[in-house]
Amino acid sequence: MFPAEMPEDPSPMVPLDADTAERLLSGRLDPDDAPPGYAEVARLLQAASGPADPAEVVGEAAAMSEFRTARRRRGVAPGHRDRPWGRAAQPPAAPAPASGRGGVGRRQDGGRGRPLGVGDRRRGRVRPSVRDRRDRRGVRPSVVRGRLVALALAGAVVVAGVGVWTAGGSPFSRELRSPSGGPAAGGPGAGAPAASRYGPDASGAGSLRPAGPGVGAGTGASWVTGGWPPSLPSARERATARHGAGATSHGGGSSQGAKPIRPTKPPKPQQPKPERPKPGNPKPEKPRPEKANEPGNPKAGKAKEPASP
Amino acid sequence: MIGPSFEAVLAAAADGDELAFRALWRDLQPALLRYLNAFAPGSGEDLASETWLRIIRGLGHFSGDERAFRAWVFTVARHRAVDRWRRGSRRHDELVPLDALTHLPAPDDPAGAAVDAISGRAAVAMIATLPRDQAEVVLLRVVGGLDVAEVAAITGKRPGNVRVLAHRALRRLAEQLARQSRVGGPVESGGRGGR
Repeated sequence: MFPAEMPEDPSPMVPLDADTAERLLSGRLDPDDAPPGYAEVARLLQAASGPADPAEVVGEAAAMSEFRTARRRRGVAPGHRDRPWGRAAQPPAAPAPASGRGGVGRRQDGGRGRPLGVGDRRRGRVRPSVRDRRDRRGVRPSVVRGRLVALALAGAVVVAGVGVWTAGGSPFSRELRSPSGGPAAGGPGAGAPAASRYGPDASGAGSLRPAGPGVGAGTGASWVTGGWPPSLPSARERATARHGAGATSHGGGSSQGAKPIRPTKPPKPQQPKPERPKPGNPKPEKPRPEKANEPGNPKAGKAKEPASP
Repeated sequence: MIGPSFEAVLAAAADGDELAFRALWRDLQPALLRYLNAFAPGSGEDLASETWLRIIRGLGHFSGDERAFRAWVFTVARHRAVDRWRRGSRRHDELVPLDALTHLPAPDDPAGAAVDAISGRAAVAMIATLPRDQAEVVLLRVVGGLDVAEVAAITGKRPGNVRVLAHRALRRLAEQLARQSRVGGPVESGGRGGR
Protein backbone atom coordinates (compact mmCIF):
# COMPACT_ATOMS: atom_id res chain seq x y z
CA MET A 1 0.00 0.00 0.00
CA PHE A 2 1.37 3.34 -0.99
CA PRO A 3 1.11 6.29 1.32
CA ALA A 4 -1.29 7.96 -1.03
CA GLU A 5 -3.60 5.00 -0.80
CA MET A 6 -3.64 5.01 2.97
CA PRO A 7 -6.83 6.31 4.59
CA GLU A 8 -6.67 9.65 6.19
CA ASP A 9 -6.40 9.91 9.91
CA PRO A 10 -9.94 10.35 11.17
CA SER A 11 -8.83 12.40 14.15
CA PRO A 12 -5.80 14.45 13.35
CA MET A 13 -3.99 15.69 16.42
CA VAL A 14 -4.11 19.34 17.14
CA PRO A 15 -1.75 21.21 19.35
CA LEU A 16 -2.75 20.93 22.97
CA ASP A 17 -3.00 24.12 24.93
CA ALA A 18 -2.12 24.41 28.58
CA ASP A 19 -5.66 24.83 29.80
CA THR A 20 -6.86 21.71 28.01
CA ALA A 21 -3.94 19.77 29.30
CA GLU A 22 -4.72 20.92 32.83
CA ARG A 23 -8.32 19.90 32.46
CA LEU A 24 -7.27 16.55 31.12
CA LEU A 25 -4.92 15.86 33.97
CA SER A 26 -7.35 16.97 36.62
CA GLY A 27 -10.15 14.84 35.16
CA ARG A 28 -12.41 17.80 34.43
CA LEU A 29 -12.48 17.23 30.66
CA ASP A 30 -15.15 14.98 29.27
CA PRO A 31 -13.96 12.68 26.45
CA ASP A 32 -16.66 13.98 24.16
CA ASP A 33 -15.44 17.52 24.72
CA ALA A 34 -11.82 16.67 24.20
CA PRO A 35 -9.98 18.07 21.17
CA PRO A 36 -9.40 15.76 18.22
CA GLY A 37 -6.96 13.00 19.04
CA TYR A 38 -7.28 13.37 22.82
CA ALA A 39 -10.60 11.72 23.43
CA GLU A 40 -8.91 8.39 23.96
CA VAL A 41 -6.43 9.99 26.29
CA ALA A 42 -9.24 11.45 28.33
CA ARG A 43 -10.87 8.05 28.65
CA LEU A 44 -7.58 6.52 29.60
CA LEU A 45 -6.94 9.03 32.34
CA GLN A 46 -10.46 8.65 33.66
CA ALA A 47 -9.93 4.91 33.86
CA ALA A 48 -6.63 5.42 35.67
CA SER A 49 -8.28 7.54 38.34
CA GLY A 50 -11.42 5.43 38.50
CA PRO A 51 -12.78 3.44 41.38
CA ALA A 52 -10.70 0.78 42.96
CA ASP A 53 -10.69 -2.77 41.74
CA PRO A 54 -11.48 -5.47 44.28
CA ALA A 55 -7.96 -6.77 43.89
CA GLU A 56 -6.56 -3.47 45.08
CA VAL A 57 -8.15 -3.62 48.50
CA VAL A 58 -7.37 -7.18 49.44
CA GLY A 59 -4.69 -6.04 51.84
CA GLU A 60 -7.08 -4.24 54.12
CA ALA A 61 -7.00 -6.90 56.84
CA ALA A 62 -3.22 -6.94 56.88
CA ALA A 63 -3.10 -3.16 57.04
CA MET A 64 -5.51 -3.10 59.96
CA SER A 65 -3.45 -5.71 61.72
CA GLU A 66 -0.37 -3.61 61.24
CA PHE A 67 -2.23 -0.62 62.57
CA ARG A 68 -3.30 -2.50 65.71
CA THR A 69 0.18 -3.87 66.25
CA ALA A 70 1.74 -0.47 65.87
CA ARG A 71 -0.71 1.10 68.27
CA ARG A 72 -0.22 -1.65 70.84
CA ARG A 73 3.54 -1.43 70.57
CA ARG A 74 3.32 2.28 70.90
CA GLY A 75 1.40 1.99 74.12
CA VAL A 76 3.68 -0.57 75.75
CA ALA A 77 7.12 -0.32 74.30
CA PRO A 78 8.86 2.41 72.36
CA GLY A 79 8.68 2.23 68.65
CA HIS A 80 10.79 4.12 66.19
CA ARG A 81 12.45 7.47 66.51
CA ASP A 82 9.14 9.23 66.68
CA ARG A 83 8.21 7.57 69.92
CA PRO A 84 6.75 9.87 72.50
CA TRP A 85 8.22 7.95 75.38
CA GLY A 86 11.20 9.08 77.30
CA ARG A 87 14.19 7.00 78.13
CA ALA A 88 13.15 6.70 81.73
CA ALA A 89 9.82 5.20 80.75
CA GLN A 90 11.42 2.25 79.09
CA PRO A 91 10.93 -1.05 80.83
CA PRO A 92 13.96 -2.24 82.74
CA ALA A 93 16.15 -4.63 80.89
CA ALA A 94 15.94 -8.19 82.02
CA PRO A 95 19.15 -9.50 83.51
CA ALA A 96 20.96 -11.45 80.89
CA PRO A 97 22.55 -14.70 81.86
CA ALA A 98 26.25 -14.42 82.25
CA SER A 99 28.58 -16.48 80.23
CA GLY A 100 30.26 -19.40 81.83
CA ARG A 101 33.68 -17.83 81.63
CA GLY A 102 33.42 -15.31 84.34
CA GLY A 103 32.59 -11.69 84.42
CA VAL A 104 32.52 -10.95 80.73
CA GLY A 105 29.23 -11.75 79.09
CA ARG A 106 27.60 -11.04 75.80
CA ARG A 107 24.43 -9.27 75.06
CA GLN A 108 21.44 -11.42 74.41
CA ASP A 109 19.61 -8.97 72.19
CA GLY A 110 21.56 -9.62 69.06
CA GLY A 111 24.24 -7.14 69.82
CA ARG A 112 27.78 -7.30 68.60
CA GLY A 113 29.16 -8.89 71.65
CA ARG A 114 30.65 -5.84 73.28
CA PRO A 115 32.29 -6.78 76.56
CA LEU A 116 30.13 -5.76 79.41
CA GLY A 117 31.40 -3.52 82.13
CA VAL A 118 30.39 -2.16 85.46
CA GLY A 119 27.85 0.13 83.93
CA ASP A 120 26.15 -2.80 82.27
CA ARG A 121 25.99 -4.59 85.57
CA ARG A 122 24.37 -1.56 87.11
CA ARG A 123 21.89 -1.44 84.32
CA GLY A 124 20.93 -5.02 84.89
CA ARG A 125 22.45 -6.58 81.80
CA VAL A 126 24.60 -8.97 83.70
CA ARG A 127 23.68 -11.67 86.09
CA PRO A 128 24.20 -10.53 89.66
CA SER A 129 27.30 -11.72 91.39
CA VAL A 130 27.41 -14.49 93.92
CA ARG A 131 27.27 -11.95 96.70
CA ASP A 132 24.07 -10.50 95.32
CA ARG A 133 22.31 -13.76 94.61
CA ARG A 134 19.32 -14.66 96.68
CA ASP A 135 17.60 -17.86 97.47
CA ARG A 136 14.00 -18.61 96.64
CA ARG A 137 12.76 -16.52 99.53
CA GLY A 138 14.80 -13.56 98.48
CA VAL A 139 17.39 -13.75 101.28
CA ARG A 140 21.01 -13.16 100.48
CA PRO A 141 23.60 -15.73 101.51
CA SER A 142 25.44 -13.08 103.47
CA VAL A 143 22.35 -12.50 105.56
CA VAL A 144 22.03 -16.20 106.18
CA ARG A 145 25.65 -16.36 107.18
CA GLY A 146 25.19 -13.46 109.59
CA ARG A 147 22.22 -15.17 111.14
CA LEU A 148 24.22 -18.30 111.67
CA VAL A 149 27.01 -16.36 113.33
CA ALA A 150 24.55 -14.57 115.59
CA LEU A 151 22.99 -17.88 116.51
CA ALA A 152 26.36 -19.35 117.36
CA LEU A 153 27.22 -16.34 119.51
CA ALA A 154 23.90 -16.59 121.30
CA GLY A 155 24.54 -20.26 121.98
CA ALA A 156 27.95 -19.46 123.36
CA VAL A 157 26.47 -16.82 125.63
CA VAL A 158 23.85 -19.24 126.85
CA VAL A 159 26.44 -21.91 127.55
CA ALA A 160 28.57 -19.38 129.38
CA GLY A 161 25.59 -18.33 131.46
CA VAL A 162 24.83 -21.89 132.36
CA GLY A 163 28.43 -22.36 133.34
CA VAL A 164 28.36 -19.26 135.51
CA TRP A 165 25.20 -20.41 137.14
CA THR A 166 26.70 -23.81 137.72
CA ALA A 167 29.85 -22.35 139.17
CA GLY A 168 28.10 -19.85 141.40
CA GLY A 169 24.97 -21.60 142.52
CA SER A 170 25.82 -25.21 142.71
CA PRO A 171 26.78 -26.83 145.98
CA PHE A 172 30.27 -27.19 144.67
CA SER A 173 30.67 -23.54 143.94
CA ARG A 174 32.21 -22.61 147.22
CA GLU A 175 34.54 -25.47 147.00
CA LEU A 176 35.37 -24.65 143.42
CA ARG A 177 36.20 -21.09 144.21
CA SER A 178 39.71 -20.05 143.99
CA PRO A 179 41.52 -19.05 147.12
CA SER A 180 41.14 -15.46 146.12
CA GLY A 181 37.39 -15.78 146.30
CA GLY A 182 36.70 -14.40 142.90
CA PRO A 183 33.16 -14.86 141.80
CA ALA A 184 34.17 -16.45 138.60
CA ALA A 185 36.71 -18.66 140.10
CA GLY A 186 36.82 -21.83 138.20
CA GLY A 187 34.00 -20.73 136.02
CA PRO A 188 33.71 -21.82 132.54
CA GLY A 189 35.69 -19.86 130.12
CA ALA A 190 37.01 -17.62 132.80
CA GLY A 191 40.45 -18.60 132.00
CA ALA A 192 42.96 -20.83 133.58
CA PRO A 193 43.49 -20.13 137.18
CA ALA A 194 46.68 -18.59 138.11
CA ALA A 195 49.37 -20.40 139.85
CA SER A 196 48.22 -20.87 143.33
CA ARG A 197 50.03 -21.66 146.32
CA TYR A 198 48.93 -25.18 145.97
CA GLY A 199 51.18 -25.64 143.07
CA PRO A 200 50.54 -26.09 139.46
CA ASP A 201 48.94 -29.43 139.89
CA ALA A 202 46.19 -28.10 142.02
CA SER A 203 45.06 -25.41 139.68
CA GLY A 204 41.77 -25.94 137.95
CA ALA A 205 41.38 -25.45 134.32
CA GLY A 206 37.98 -23.86 134.38
CA SER A 207 35.98 -26.76 133.19
CA LEU A 208 32.30 -26.59 132.54
CA ARG A 209 31.40 -29.09 135.14
CA PRO A 210 32.66 -29.63 138.62
CA ALA A 211 35.13 -32.39 138.60
CA GLY A 212 34.80 -33.26 142.17
CA PRO A 213 34.55 -31.95 145.65
CA GLY A 214 37.81 -30.26 146.09
CA VAL A 215 39.57 -26.98 145.70
CA GLY A 216 41.66 -28.12 142.86
CA ALA A 217 38.80 -29.56 140.93
CA GLY A 218 39.17 -29.31 137.23
CA THR A 219 40.78 -31.01 134.47
CA GLY A 220 44.05 -30.84 136.18
CA ALA A 221 45.20 -33.06 138.94
CA SER A 222 43.53 -32.53 142.27
CA TRP A 223 44.82 -33.00 145.77
CA VAL A 224 43.20 -36.34 145.83
CA THR A 225 45.51 -37.56 143.17
CA GLY A 226 48.56 -36.44 144.95
CA GLY A 227 48.13 -32.75 145.46
CA TRP A 228 48.16 -30.71 148.61
CA PRO A 229 45.59 -31.28 151.29
CA PRO A 230 42.68 -28.87 151.21
CA SER A 231 42.97 -25.84 153.31
CA LEU A 232 40.75 -22.84 152.85
CA PRO A 233 42.49 -19.48 152.75
CA SER A 234 42.05 -17.09 155.55
CA ALA A 235 40.27 -13.77 155.31
CA ARG A 236 43.49 -11.88 155.20
CA GLU A 237 44.74 -13.93 152.35
CA ARG A 238 41.52 -13.34 150.49
CA ALA A 239 41.65 -9.60 151.05
CA THR A 240 45.23 -9.44 150.02
CA ALA A 241 44.56 -11.42 146.96
CA ARG A 242 41.48 -9.41 146.10
CA HIS A 243 42.77 -5.89 146.62
CA GLY A 244 46.44 -6.18 146.76
CA ALA A 245 47.05 -8.48 143.92
CA GLY A 246 44.86 -6.63 141.55
CA ALA A 247 41.70 -7.59 139.82
CA THR A 248 43.11 -10.76 138.57
CA SER A 249 44.05 -12.81 141.50
CA HIS A 250 45.99 -15.91 141.40
CA GLY A 251 44.02 -18.98 140.87
CA GLY A 252 40.71 -17.30 140.24
CA GLY A 253 40.56 -15.45 137.01
CA SER A 254 38.90 -12.17 136.53
CA SER A 255 36.22 -10.99 138.81
CA GLN A 256 34.38 -9.55 135.86
CA GLY A 257 34.61 -12.67 133.88
CA ALA A 258 37.04 -11.14 131.49
CA LYS A 259 40.07 -12.75 130.15
CA PRO A 260 42.56 -13.20 132.93
CA ILE A 261 46.19 -12.74 132.76
CA ARG A 262 47.83 -15.95 131.85
CA PRO A 263 49.93 -17.08 134.79
CA THR A 264 53.59 -17.33 134.46
CA LYS A 265 54.94 -20.77 134.75
CA PRO A 266 57.51 -21.32 137.44
CA PRO A 267 60.97 -21.89 136.16
CA LYS A 268 61.81 -25.48 135.80
CA PRO A 269 64.84 -26.63 137.64
CA GLN A 270 67.77 -27.08 135.41
CA GLN A 271 68.87 -30.63 135.64
CA PRO A 272 72.09 -31.68 134.10
CA LYS A 273 71.36 -33.85 131.19
CA PRO A 274 73.25 -37.07 130.97
CA GLU A 275 75.44 -37.20 128.02
CA ARG A 276 74.39 -39.65 125.45
CA PRO A 277 76.57 -41.21 122.89
CA LYS A 278 76.03 -39.79 119.50
CA PRO A 279 73.86 -42.09 117.45
CA GLY A 280 75.70 -41.31 114.28
CA ASN A 281 79.03 -42.82 115.30
CA PRO A 282 78.45 -46.04 117.17
CA LYS A 283 81.72 -47.49 115.93
CA PRO A 284 85.10 -46.22 116.91
CA GLU A 285 86.89 -44.32 114.30
CA LYS A 286 89.26 -46.22 112.13
CA PRO A 287 92.63 -44.89 111.38
CA ARG A 288 92.56 -42.79 108.33
CA PRO A 289 94.13 -44.54 105.36
CA GLU A 290 96.85 -42.89 103.44
CA LYS A 291 95.94 -40.91 100.46
CA ALA A 292 96.12 -42.85 97.27
CA ASN A 293 97.54 -40.08 95.18
CA GLU A 294 100.35 -39.20 97.37
CA PRO A 295 103.68 -39.28 95.59
CA GLY A 296 105.18 -42.16 97.50
CA ASN A 297 102.17 -44.43 97.22
CA PRO A 298 102.69 -47.39 94.95
CA LYS A 299 98.95 -47.58 94.25
CA ALA A 300 98.84 -44.13 92.95
CA GLY A 301 97.31 -43.83 89.52
CA LYS A 302 96.31 -47.45 89.27
CA ALA A 303 92.69 -46.77 89.60
CA LYS A 304 92.63 -44.97 86.31
CA GLU A 305 94.28 -47.71 84.34
CA PRO A 306 91.94 -49.71 82.16
CA ALA A 307 91.43 -53.29 83.11
CA SER A 308 93.27 -55.83 81.04
CA PRO A 309 91.10 -58.19 79.06
CA MET B 1 -11.25 12.21 48.60
CA ILE B 2 -12.80 12.21 52.03
CA GLY B 3 -13.91 15.79 52.04
CA PRO B 4 -14.73 18.18 54.87
CA SER B 5 -14.66 15.46 57.51
CA PHE B 6 -11.02 14.71 56.79
CA GLU B 7 -9.63 16.50 59.83
CA ALA B 8 -11.90 14.62 62.20
CA VAL B 9 -11.05 11.33 60.54
CA LEU B 10 -7.35 12.05 60.72
CA ALA B 11 -7.55 13.03 64.38
CA ALA B 12 -9.47 9.89 65.20
CA ALA B 13 -6.98 7.73 63.33
CA ALA B 14 -4.14 9.37 65.19
CA ASP B 15 -5.88 8.48 68.45
CA GLY B 16 -6.07 4.85 67.42
CA ASP B 17 -9.54 4.63 65.93
CA GLU B 18 -9.56 1.73 63.53
CA LEU B 19 -12.60 2.89 61.60
CA ALA B 20 -10.99 6.22 60.89
CA PHE B 21 -7.80 4.56 59.74
CA ARG B 22 -9.81 2.21 57.58
CA ALA B 23 -11.42 5.20 55.88
CA LEU B 24 -8.03 6.71 55.19
CA TRP B 25 -6.68 3.44 53.88
CA ARG B 26 -9.60 2.80 51.57
CA ASP B 27 -9.36 6.28 50.17
CA LEU B 28 -5.66 6.19 49.45
CA GLN B 29 -4.65 2.58 48.98
CA PRO B 30 -5.91 2.11 45.37
CA ALA B 31 -4.16 5.23 44.13
CA LEU B 32 -1.07 4.38 46.09
CA LEU B 33 -0.96 0.89 44.68
CA ARG B 34 -1.40 2.09 41.12
CA TYR B 35 1.32 4.64 41.48
CA LEU B 36 3.73 2.17 43.05
CA ASN B 37 2.97 -0.57 40.54
CA ALA B 38 3.79 1.81 37.73
CA PHE B 39 6.88 3.17 39.42
CA ALA B 40 8.26 -0.13 40.71
CA PRO B 41 6.59 -2.97 38.82
CA GLY B 42 6.15 -6.11 40.88
CA SER B 43 6.83 -4.43 44.21
CA GLY B 44 3.72 -2.37 44.62
CA GLU B 45 2.24 -4.39 47.45
CA ASP B 46 5.40 -4.46 49.49
CA LEU B 47 6.09 -0.80 48.96
CA ALA B 48 2.54 0.08 49.91
CA SER B 49 2.90 -1.87 53.15
CA GLU B 50 6.13 -0.10 53.98
CA THR B 51 4.51 3.22 53.18
CA TRP B 52 1.58 2.57 55.46
CA LEU B 53 3.89 1.58 58.27
CA ARG B 54 5.57 4.95 58.01
CA ILE B 55 2.21 6.66 57.80
CA ILE B 56 0.98 4.93 60.93
CA ARG B 57 4.06 5.97 62.86
CA GLY B 58 3.74 9.56 61.77
CA LEU B 59 0.01 10.00 62.06
CA GLY B 60 0.25 11.71 65.41
CA HIS B 61 2.72 14.28 64.16
CA PHE B 62 1.04 15.26 60.92
CA SER B 63 -0.83 18.52 60.65
CA GLY B 64 -2.50 19.77 57.49
CA ASP B 65 -5.45 19.38 55.21
CA GLU B 66 -6.36 16.52 52.97
CA ARG B 67 -4.28 17.64 50.03
CA ALA B 68 -1.23 17.99 52.20
CA PHE B 69 -1.90 14.57 53.63
CA ARG B 70 -2.10 13.01 50.20
CA ALA B 71 1.08 14.78 49.17
CA TRP B 72 2.79 13.44 52.27
CA VAL B 73 1.61 9.90 51.62
CA PHE B 74 2.87 9.97 48.04
CA THR B 75 6.14 11.49 49.14
CA VAL B 76 6.71 8.61 51.51
CA ALA B 77 5.72 6.15 48.84
CA ARG B 78 8.07 7.71 46.34
CA HIS B 79 10.95 7.47 48.74
CA ARG B 80 10.22 3.81 49.27
CA ALA B 81 9.97 3.25 45.54
CA VAL B 82 13.20 5.09 44.83
CA ASP B 83 15.03 2.96 47.35
CA ARG B 84 13.62 -0.17 45.82
CA TRP B 85 14.40 1.00 42.33
CA ARG B 86 18.00 1.69 43.29
CA ARG B 87 18.37 -1.76 44.73
CA GLY B 88 16.73 -3.25 41.67
CA SER B 89 19.00 -1.31 39.34
CA ARG B 90 22.02 -2.69 41.13
CA ARG B 91 20.65 -6.17 40.57
CA HIS B 92 19.96 -5.38 36.91
CA ASP B 93 16.59 -7.07 36.90
CA GLU B 94 13.40 -5.72 35.46
CA LEU B 95 10.22 -6.88 37.12
CA VAL B 96 7.17 -6.97 34.87
CA PRO B 97 3.74 -7.57 36.38
CA LEU B 98 2.20 -10.31 34.33
CA ASP B 99 -1.30 -9.65 35.56
CA ALA B 100 -1.09 -6.12 34.25
CA LEU B 101 -0.02 -7.33 30.87
CA THR B 102 -2.94 -9.68 30.67
CA HIS B 103 -5.28 -6.75 30.99
CA LEU B 104 -3.92 -5.11 27.89
CA PRO B 105 -6.23 -5.48 24.89
CA ALA B 106 -5.20 -8.13 22.43
CA PRO B 107 -5.12 -7.40 18.68
CA ASP B 108 -7.87 -9.86 17.98
CA ASP B 109 -10.06 -8.67 20.80
CA PRO B 110 -12.34 -5.91 19.49
CA ALA B 111 -14.06 -5.52 22.80
CA GLY B 112 -10.80 -5.22 24.64
CA ALA B 113 -9.59 -2.78 22.08
CA ALA B 114 -12.23 -0.39 23.13
CA VAL B 115 -10.78 2.14 25.48
CA ASP B 116 -14.02 2.28 27.39
CA ALA B 117 -13.48 -1.22 28.58
CA ILE B 118 -10.05 -0.53 29.83
CA SER B 119 -9.64 -1.01 33.52
CA GLY B 120 -7.79 1.16 35.90
CA ARG B 121 -4.88 -1.19 36.15
CA ALA B 122 -4.57 -1.47 32.39
CA ALA B 123 -4.66 2.29 32.09
CA VAL B 124 -1.88 2.60 34.63
CA ALA B 125 0.07 -0.06 32.79
CA MET B 126 -0.23 1.99 29.65
CA ILE B 127 0.90 5.11 31.43
CA ALA B 128 3.81 3.18 32.81
CA THR B 129 5.09 2.68 29.29
CA LEU B 130 5.98 6.36 29.14
CA PRO B 131 9.41 7.61 30.11
CA ARG B 132 9.85 7.44 33.86
CA ASP B 133 9.65 11.10 34.73
CA GLN B 134 6.69 11.66 32.40
CA ALA B 135 4.86 8.67 33.82
CA GLU B 136 5.54 9.81 37.35
CA VAL B 137 4.19 13.27 36.71
CA VAL B 138 1.06 11.93 35.06
CA LEU B 139 0.43 9.39 37.77
CA LEU B 140 0.90 11.88 40.56
CA ARG B 141 -1.40 14.31 38.89
CA VAL B 142 -4.08 11.88 37.72
CA VAL B 143 -3.95 9.02 40.21
CA GLY B 144 -2.74 10.98 43.20
CA GLY B 145 -4.94 13.96 42.54
CA LEU B 146 -2.14 16.45 43.17
CA ASP B 147 -1.62 19.79 41.51
CA VAL B 148 1.47 21.09 39.76
CA ALA B 149 3.04 22.66 42.83
CA GLU B 150 2.63 19.53 44.91
CA VAL B 151 4.04 17.31 42.19
CA ALA B 152 6.95 19.66 41.77
CA ALA B 153 7.61 19.51 45.50
CA ILE B 154 7.50 15.74 45.53
CA THR B 155 9.64 15.15 42.51
CA GLY B 156 12.04 17.96 43.19
CA LYS B 157 11.37 19.71 39.90
CA ARG B 158 10.24 23.16 39.02
CA PRO B 159 6.53 23.68 38.26
CA GLY B 160 7.29 24.69 34.70
CA ASN B 161 9.26 21.52 34.18
CA VAL B 162 6.37 19.52 35.55
CA ARG B 163 3.99 21.15 33.12
CA VAL B 164 6.28 20.42 30.20
CA LEU B 165 6.65 16.81 31.21
CA ALA B 166 2.91 16.41 31.57
CA HIS B 167 2.31 18.00 28.20
CA ARG B 168 4.76 15.68 26.48
CA ALA B 169 3.27 12.71 28.23
CA LEU B 170 -0.22 13.55 27.03
CA ARG B 171 0.98 14.02 23.50
CA ARG B 172 2.82 10.69 23.57
CA LEU B 173 -0.19 8.90 24.95
CA ALA B 174 -2.37 10.36 22.25
CA GLU B 175 0.06 9.19 19.59
CA GLN B 176 0.21 5.69 21.00
CA LEU B 177 -3.55 5.38 21.22
CA ALA B 178 -3.98 6.73 17.69
CA ARG B 179 -1.44 4.27 16.35
CA GLN B 180 -3.16 1.45 18.18
CA SER B 181 -6.56 2.36 16.84
CA ARG B 182 -5.18 2.64 13.29
CA VAL B 183 -3.17 -0.55 13.22
CA GLY B 184 -5.26 -2.49 15.70
CA GLY B 185 -2.19 -3.80 17.46
CA PRO B 186 -1.25 -3.78 21.06
CA VAL B 187 0.03 -0.79 22.81
CA GLU B 188 3.60 -0.23 21.82
CA SER B 189 6.02 0.69 24.47
CA GLY B 190 7.67 3.99 23.85
CA GLY B 191 10.66 3.02 25.91
CA ARG B 192 12.03 4.63 28.99
CA GLY B 193 14.60 7.28 29.16
CA GLY B 194 13.48 9.36 26.22
CA ARG B 195 11.75 12.66 26.46
